Amino acid sequence: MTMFDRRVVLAGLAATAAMPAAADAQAPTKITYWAWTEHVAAANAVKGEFEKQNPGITVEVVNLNPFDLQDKFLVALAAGTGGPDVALILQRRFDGYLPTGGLLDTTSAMAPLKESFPASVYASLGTGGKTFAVPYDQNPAVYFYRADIFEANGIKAPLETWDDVVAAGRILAAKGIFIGHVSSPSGVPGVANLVQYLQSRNAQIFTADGKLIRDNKLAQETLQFYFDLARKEKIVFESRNNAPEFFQAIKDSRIAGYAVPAWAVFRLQKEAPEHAGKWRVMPWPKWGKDQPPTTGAWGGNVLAIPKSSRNKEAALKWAMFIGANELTQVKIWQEGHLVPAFAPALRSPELLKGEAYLGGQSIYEAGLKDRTLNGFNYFDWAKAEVIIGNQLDLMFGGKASPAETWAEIEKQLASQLGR
Amino acid sequence: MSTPTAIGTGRAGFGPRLRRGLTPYLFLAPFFLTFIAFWLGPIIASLIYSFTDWRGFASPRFIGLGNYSKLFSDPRFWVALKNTLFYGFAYVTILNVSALALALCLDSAWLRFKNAVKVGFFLPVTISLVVAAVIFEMIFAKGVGLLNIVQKGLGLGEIDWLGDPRFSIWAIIILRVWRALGYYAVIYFAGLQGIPEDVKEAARLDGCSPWQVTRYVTLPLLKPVILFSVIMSTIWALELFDEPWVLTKGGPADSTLTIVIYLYQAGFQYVELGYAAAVSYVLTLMIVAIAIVQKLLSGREVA
Repeated sequence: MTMFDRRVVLAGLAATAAMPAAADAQAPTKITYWAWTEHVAAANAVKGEFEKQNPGITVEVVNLNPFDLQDKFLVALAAGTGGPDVALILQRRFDGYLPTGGLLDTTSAMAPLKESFPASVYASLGTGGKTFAVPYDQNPAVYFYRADIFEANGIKAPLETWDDVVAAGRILAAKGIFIGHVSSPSGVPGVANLVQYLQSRNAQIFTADGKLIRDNKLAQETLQFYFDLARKEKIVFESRNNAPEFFQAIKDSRIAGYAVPAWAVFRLQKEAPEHAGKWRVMPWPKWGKDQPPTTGAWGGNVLAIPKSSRNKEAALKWAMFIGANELTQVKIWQEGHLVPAFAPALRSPELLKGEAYLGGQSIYEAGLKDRTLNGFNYFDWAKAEVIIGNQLDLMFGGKASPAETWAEIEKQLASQLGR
Repeated sequence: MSTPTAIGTGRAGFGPRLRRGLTPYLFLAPFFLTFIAFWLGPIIASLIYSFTDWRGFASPRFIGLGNYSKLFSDPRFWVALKNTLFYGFAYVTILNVSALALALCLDSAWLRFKNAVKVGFFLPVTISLVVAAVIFEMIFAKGVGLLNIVQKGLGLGEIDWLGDPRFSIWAIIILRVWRALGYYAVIYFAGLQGIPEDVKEAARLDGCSPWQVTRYVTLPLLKPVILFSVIMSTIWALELFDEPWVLTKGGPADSTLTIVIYLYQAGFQYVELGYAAAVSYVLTLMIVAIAIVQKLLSGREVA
């Protein structure tokens, strides 16, 4: 090989060696986002806009079972590897992720936007004045009802209080029609159903600083009410959450009411398209005529970024884009009827648009606008849910009264959580 | 060129011999390295972790037998153990009796369309659990499910298969047997094919009835296959997780809580990794003990 040849070869090798670096500089950053069902649809609807605004960043949206997602993400944080760049986390499980120390500090990005989110949502994002997530959505409950069945039975909607619901339920029950649904057996999935009743009444289980409330009369009364709807009044349909028999009863018009978060309208549409125009929505009933107009929730969701993400900057951009941006927060309402956590989005006229399935009614205007969502203090919820779910199963199985059940829940929460 | 000279002196004979001696070990090394890193290593590590309080985030803290003591004093563990053993006994018995009966039918002369029957029974093995769970959720649905419709047709009452703690474990057993029957039937069928026809023919010439041939010739010769199937299905049964997790999440009221669900909750939901390691060791010891007992009970001739 001549000297000239050698120079050419060396130059070629040097150029080749430099290529990956140059390619890296231009290579698009790919971030992965873990979410589920309706949130995946919402993310897919806005990711094109995000990628347009952020050339060089692409988003891969991964659809996972919501409960599996929480577990996988927690393990990924503990292991320090294997997680996505951004994950959608159930707000009620979020406190379990904080002790891992594996979440990206979002304080500097979130602090300027503090006033744009409900105080209870913002407070749940972290501890010690720092935030470790970006808010995403809330899950406030409304009351869907069959307008045709109500009208045929002389029931005037909206029903203002739970007493009105019970009175109307008795009329319908006489004809074999249920005015609502109770998760029985409950298990873990059914606990969220009870929580919306507790939350709407501000019947907390834990104090804001995580202490268990003992001898909790309000929670016990609420559980008694929940139980009585099913077993004393017999006015609600009992089944596991999302059980086939529940949706069959909806199709058969044996259920004329459903107290549940707004996103459930899609499930109704899917399971009973033939009922289009017959369903309507009203606000969550008050606990008395002089009681405040509140509602409960199944717990909202927040966006978390693991510290181990190799694309933290891009991940934070994506999280802020879907969590703290009016355009995309409105989009998540349009795509999934997920109530935005970002306050400016709640003022969008898009939320007032009517739904054909609900006879042109706007869910937000008719069911949510005039209700406030109490905060709910979730602590060690993965374990708490198991304890509460099991005790609810025993209660509906006839093994304990609601009072005994709540006493046992308190006892087990105290002994197993040490709170 | 000094290097070849150096090799050529003193160590010249040792080098090739050493290389020859090392060669097989080098070929085997990838397996053993993988085995140590991903099998033996985690087994030893988890044994050590089972004596620690470890939540994955901070360093493990040695607590001696604390996890084991907590485990044996937790009523939920005993519920999980009872459910697992009951399920294991019922599942292994029903599965093996059914699979053996099916294999004997497939091996018989009178059954027509054998291939179609084989495909029909083997098909559930290939169906994903999620699909199977969706199908069975509809079959088990209270009031409107296929099983309830049949029950009502027969004048039997309505059963909430997934919602009533008395029946939920049976719903899991039915689903699991349905999924595994074809697989074990194929194993038994292969075993039956290996039994020499002349032995059975000799028994028939000696005047044995078909039942006597099965009872005194076929089944004894099939004993190693039966032992294999029973042990394998027992191990699979004791590791039950997927079906109850997808269908019932261990409920209602912990009626389908198994040891592996208990372990999963401890490890992956509560991140009590040291405690979960202790649970896994108890499960391992239980599986080993049951397998040994099964082998002893099955008689020496099998070994």
